[in-house]
Amino acid sequence: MKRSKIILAVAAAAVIVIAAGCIMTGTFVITVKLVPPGPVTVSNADYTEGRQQVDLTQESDFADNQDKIKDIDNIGFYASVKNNLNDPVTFQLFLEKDTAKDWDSAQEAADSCTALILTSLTIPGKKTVTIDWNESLKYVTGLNDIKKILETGHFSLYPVAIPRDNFSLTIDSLVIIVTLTGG
Amino acid sequence: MKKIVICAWAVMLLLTVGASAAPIGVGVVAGPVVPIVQADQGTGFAYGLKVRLHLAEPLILEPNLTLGGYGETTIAGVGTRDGSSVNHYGLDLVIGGGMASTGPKPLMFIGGAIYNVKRDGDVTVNKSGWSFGLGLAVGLMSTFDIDLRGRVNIVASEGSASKKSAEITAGATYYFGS
Repeated sequence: MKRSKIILAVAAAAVIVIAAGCIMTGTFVITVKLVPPGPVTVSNADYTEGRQQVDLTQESDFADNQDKIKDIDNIGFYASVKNNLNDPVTFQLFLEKDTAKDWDSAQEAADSCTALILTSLTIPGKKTVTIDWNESLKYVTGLNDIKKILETGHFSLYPVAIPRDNFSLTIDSLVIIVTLTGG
Repeated sequence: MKKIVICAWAVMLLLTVGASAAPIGVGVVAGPVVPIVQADQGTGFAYGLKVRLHLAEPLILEPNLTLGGYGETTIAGVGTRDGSSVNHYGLDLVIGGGMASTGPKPLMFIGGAIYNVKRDGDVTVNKSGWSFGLGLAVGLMSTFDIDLRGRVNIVASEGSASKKSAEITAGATYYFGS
């Protein structure tokens, strides 16, 4: 009986130590709605509304954990985008880490941004495509290259399309979804 | 990979049962899996197998295999996200919950396991983890127990962090050789 009590006490102590050391981290999902307000229309001819600035630090889950981020698990999107022209286009999102920079054209944005993060989303002519959180992840690329940028909480997104010289998009909704582990 | 692990586990079980003179319990478990501070996962379901091997009073060793995963989660305005599949195999050290006896038998346990966590859009994780918990077994006959257990899983993840979940399982165990 005495041996049982000793074993029980040792096991309980081990459990408490393990639990105390591990229980503080958690996984958080931060969403930032960029559009609406809008809708936003961008085209090869008029790119004045192209830049979408993101400030994750305004979200409490991010602000509370920014100095304790262990990993950026992924970045996803909710987007509803209409192709205003007759021919299909490939929708893309580029990320720029320097939020002070801005570009006047889609071609310049694609040539100059830090990273391409969403690609290969084809939108048929005159159609609207909506991708939700789950589906968006299959279009996301280069996550490892932008984790450090995401951790700063500040960056810009540039929606563009291929072909660069002939597209017109109306973005009715654009929400970014960042999943991080911290604490 | 999953099939190989299950086959290896079954072979080990048969060899152990065949070679041992002491009672050996073979059981099944099933129940919900609840993510702990994981906003990107929902409550899911898990099921599995366990073997009970008497070590020394009051200790019991339990090799175990659990399959299942989290459920999907929904965030208003952005849609749903599928839950990860979570499979783990490992070894628990159980205190209490005596084998091949009747009546109520409280127990606690601590264990280690290899966890496979997989989901489209995430890096697949194959990492070690720990678990601990409490339970109550009831021996309905000297050859048959039912039990209810709560288990907390703590699995290593990227960046020296961990992902945690709770499993609440009901189980049934049959004892050979009792």
